[in-house]
Amino acid sequence: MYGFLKFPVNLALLLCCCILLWVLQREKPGWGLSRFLASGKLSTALLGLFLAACLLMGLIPQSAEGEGLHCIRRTPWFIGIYIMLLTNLWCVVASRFGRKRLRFTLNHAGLFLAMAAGLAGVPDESVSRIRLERGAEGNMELLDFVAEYHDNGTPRHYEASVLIDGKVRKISVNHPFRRFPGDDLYLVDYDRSQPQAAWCTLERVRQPWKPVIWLGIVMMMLGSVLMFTQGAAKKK
Amino acid sequence: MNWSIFPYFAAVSVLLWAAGCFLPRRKAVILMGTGLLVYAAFIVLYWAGLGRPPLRTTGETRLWYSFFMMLSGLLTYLRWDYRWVPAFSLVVATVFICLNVFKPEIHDETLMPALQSWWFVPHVAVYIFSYSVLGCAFLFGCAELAGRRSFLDAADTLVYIGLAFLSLGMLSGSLWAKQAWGDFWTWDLKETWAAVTWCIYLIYIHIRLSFKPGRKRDVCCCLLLILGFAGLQMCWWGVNLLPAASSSLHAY
Repeated sequence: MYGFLKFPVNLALLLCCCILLWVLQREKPGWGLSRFLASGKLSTALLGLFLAACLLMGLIPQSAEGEGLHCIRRTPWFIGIYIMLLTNLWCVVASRFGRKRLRFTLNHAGLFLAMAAGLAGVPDESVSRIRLERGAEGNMELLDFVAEYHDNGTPRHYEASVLIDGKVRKISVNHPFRRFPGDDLYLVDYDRSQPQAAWCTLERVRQPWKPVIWLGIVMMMLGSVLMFTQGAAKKK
Repeated sequence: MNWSIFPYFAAVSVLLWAAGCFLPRRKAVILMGTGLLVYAAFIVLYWAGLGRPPLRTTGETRLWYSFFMMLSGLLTYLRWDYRWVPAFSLVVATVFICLNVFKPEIHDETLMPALQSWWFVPHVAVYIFSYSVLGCAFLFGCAELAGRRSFLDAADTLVYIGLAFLSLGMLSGSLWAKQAWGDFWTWDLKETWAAVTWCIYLIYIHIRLSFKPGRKRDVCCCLLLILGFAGLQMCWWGVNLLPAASSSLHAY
């Protein structure tokens, strides 16, 4: 549905919007529209709307295949609130840029980066599954598989040794293999019918905007540390 | 050290905390501090006996919540000298200790592969600490609504500390989720309720900063502190009662 928004269209659109809003905030800060878009009251109202949407998502069972209230994150009104929040965040950052407010910038710009890359990157994302069998040669080959179990029969640890691009890579839960930034291989399933697993399933997750989301998250983490060390902000 | 010894450690701690609530400041701090040390000693010994961090099951998180609730109450008392704060913290901590004594929910001692990550301890501990600090902010919100004195400046400090840790918990969780499941955010039930509570405290901060001072604003902020506390409980254990809980990635 959103295929036409793939890279580079998504990046171009995002940059155009950011530049337009930046110019509006920096060149015409006195305009009613500029002040409205960068106001704390608009932030409060949009957070309230976002909260209401999250509450609905928390109370009504959601499903990726659902429609309307059963998949709220894909409804036009939820995406609308999300985009308005992004607009507000960017305007807030642009209008206060240059003032020595590191904590403010880290928290707001970090949230903007994570949310913007999370939304704009969706058309470029893909998830595919690859089943690897012992002895079957190809781009990837399952060389060995180790599984340990608790006394009650539940898995304690399992790890696949896979030949990828001529090198042996070990992949386990919490330890995916990163082929390139934003292109990771996860171990998601394996043959439990015998002690020596004959096959395993890898999931290839391509998320090219991952480094940007990661940067936004790290900025917010630093902002949170400053929030703890500096305490409550001064009121007007 | 196994779980059967918990009631004895808990009883000694609660008695020390309760005695501290009735004594002058210096003695109160010493007794409450000793109570915390006794309680912490159990956590350390239990952790060693278990061979993994006791942070997985609901019962285990309650164990930490009682500890952090009293720690937050004591620190708040030291900072603002409100004697009633550790007393109310004690009531909340005792409720969770009683739940753990009569309905432990800690029997499963295994740790599944997804939880075997160095993110596990900081992610859960930071969250539980933020819950306890925001629990104290909730007490200030109730006190403000009930009386004439203003407690919101003190609540602000707690909300900023609590929100900082809540954010660190949520953000570290998203980095861990990417490593374990392949995506930073999947709108899983627990994540959705984490977003709900995060938004409530963000709204609190924005209202305090952007709206004119007055009784209407203050009442609104108190209600948000109460709503936020309800959201935290929902996020912590309430989600398990919802119909969609069984399909949650966070169902342990």
